[in-house]
Amino acid sequence: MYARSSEKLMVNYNYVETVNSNLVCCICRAPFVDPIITATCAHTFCRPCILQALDISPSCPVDRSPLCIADFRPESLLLRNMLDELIVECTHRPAGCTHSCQRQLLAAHLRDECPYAQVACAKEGCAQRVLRKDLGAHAEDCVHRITTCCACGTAVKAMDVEAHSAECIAQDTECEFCLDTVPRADLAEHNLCCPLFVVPCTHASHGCPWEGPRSVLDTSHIAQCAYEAIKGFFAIHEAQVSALQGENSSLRSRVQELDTAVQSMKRDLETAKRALGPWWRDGSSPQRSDGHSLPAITRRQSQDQIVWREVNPASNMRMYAIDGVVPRPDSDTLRPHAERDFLAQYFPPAHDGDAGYTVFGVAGAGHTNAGESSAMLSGSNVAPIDLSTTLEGALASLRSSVVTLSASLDSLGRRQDIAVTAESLRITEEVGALRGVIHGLRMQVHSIMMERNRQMTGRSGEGGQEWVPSSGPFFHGSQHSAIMPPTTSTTKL
Amino acid sequence: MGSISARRLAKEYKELNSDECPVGIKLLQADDFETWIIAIEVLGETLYKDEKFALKFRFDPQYPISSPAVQFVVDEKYQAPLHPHVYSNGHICASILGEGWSPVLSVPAVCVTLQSMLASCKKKERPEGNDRYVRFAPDNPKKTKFMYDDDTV
Repeated sequence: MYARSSEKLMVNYNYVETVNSNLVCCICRAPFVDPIITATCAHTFCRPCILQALDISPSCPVDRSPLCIADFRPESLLLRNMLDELIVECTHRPAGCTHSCQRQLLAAHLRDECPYAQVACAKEGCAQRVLRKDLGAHAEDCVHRITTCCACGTAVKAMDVEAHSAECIAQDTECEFCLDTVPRADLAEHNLCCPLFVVPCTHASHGCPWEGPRSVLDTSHIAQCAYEAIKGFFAIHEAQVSALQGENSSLRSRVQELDTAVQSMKRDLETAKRALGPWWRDGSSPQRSDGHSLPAITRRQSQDQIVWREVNPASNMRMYAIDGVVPRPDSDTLRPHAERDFLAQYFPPAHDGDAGYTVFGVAGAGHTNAGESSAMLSGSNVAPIDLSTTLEGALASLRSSVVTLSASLDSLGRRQDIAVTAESLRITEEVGALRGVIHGLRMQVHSIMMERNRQMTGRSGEGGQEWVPSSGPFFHGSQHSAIMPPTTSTTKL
Repeated sequence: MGSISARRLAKEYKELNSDECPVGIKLLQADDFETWIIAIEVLGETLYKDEKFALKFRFDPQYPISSPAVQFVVDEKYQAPLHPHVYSNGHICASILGEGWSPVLSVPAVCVTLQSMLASCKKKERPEGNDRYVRFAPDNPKKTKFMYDDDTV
């Protein structure tokens, strides 16, 4: 009954009374629906009708004057009201609805009250559409309506009632063996005591394969079940097994703990090992096993340089020039010398890179190795760190060498003082002597010059002036001088 | 679908069967809303006096927006009228059946127009090129592109 035209659904109304022909559209021959009028030639059409007609031919159907959709205006309110108030029959008239109303009210009638209009069932899940008049009857039968189970009282959809009954705990069911009716809630209980219920033998856990009704079990099977006879053994065995299992699991957890403890201890040990460095001793050999060459450096000092050679109080300190050698990993075991053990040598800073420093000491005291000594300046000749003793021993030897060093430093200081003092004394004496000599020389020069002066002034006839040597530098410091200026007597002349 | 045509045709059917039906026009066959046969007769003192013809109307779902296919029935009982705008196979060259069609027109209106077309004919003759046209003509006259160039008839 609906036709889709260009934009709108066109409803097929049945008009109760004969409609005035002026209200009839000439295209569809029915009273206007949404009438619009041409501005040019004043012809009215239903909007859908004229839109369709314009698609075919852009001209007025009545007089063929050119027309387009922009030329239209909506019809007057008066006309539209007259059309909307036309009485129509309900569109469900064929189904039985006898209602008639104004055209404008039909939609509301269909939507809200027409008994022959289809509506959707309100029940959740039901997609059925029924006539409004049948809605009540449908609601009573709708399979989606909620009912309550008569036995257990839970809310259940009508269509699920059957399925629910099969599982409802309040309802009766039949024991499959003894055929008694039992409420489902009690079924579990019943099964525990039903004499016909099929049970396995009590000793099934130990291997008895028998299965049968409980009554048979109790009466005949137990009597002849082989496992029954040895059930004492099973009991003992079970107890043992469970005890063992308990012990096992506790042992397992202990092992876990110990494991973790061992791991952490291992890690600590590693750290300690690394920290100790060359003093780490395995149980067997004293050498390191990491392949690094033992870092031991002998540093030559430039102590025996030229300056000190003469006074050389350095002989306080025995110069142990050691056979310079880069101790190889096994050389620790080849060092029997007590001196070496006693005098620890300087321990070089690092293990890796500095192992390349190899300096060669020189055998014999007093040798200077001018070439290399320029590279190593600090410290005295000290034995390398002895790695064959314990850390404690090494530290002790280090300490003693430090002590020795301080002592030698003291003596060095003292020697220096003495040397300096002696030298300065000497020098002072020399200087004094030199000063005396110079003084003498000056006096001589002076006397010579006086002599000449006198000679020259004597030539000129003048009496000699007495020249008194000024007490000045000449006499200064000449206290120690053994040479007196001889010219004092001559000036008096 | 296409009930705009159904409704219109229902109304026209009612009209043709009632007293409002124009004189000289009679609905012969209208079993569905697709093909109707209508008998027409031209009244008055014309060249076609006492001659009966039948018109076949074919409607499509867009009627009345689109024009019906109209032609004279040519069979044992009926002949196409001898008219300068009517070919011997019954096809009619009339503007209202082509681009002159308006949705305001209806089956009775078409019949009346064709009656007047026949009545105003001066000379009974076939159109020019009738044989060639008939040889190549399509079944549906709407497929033919008629050139309307004769205003006298």
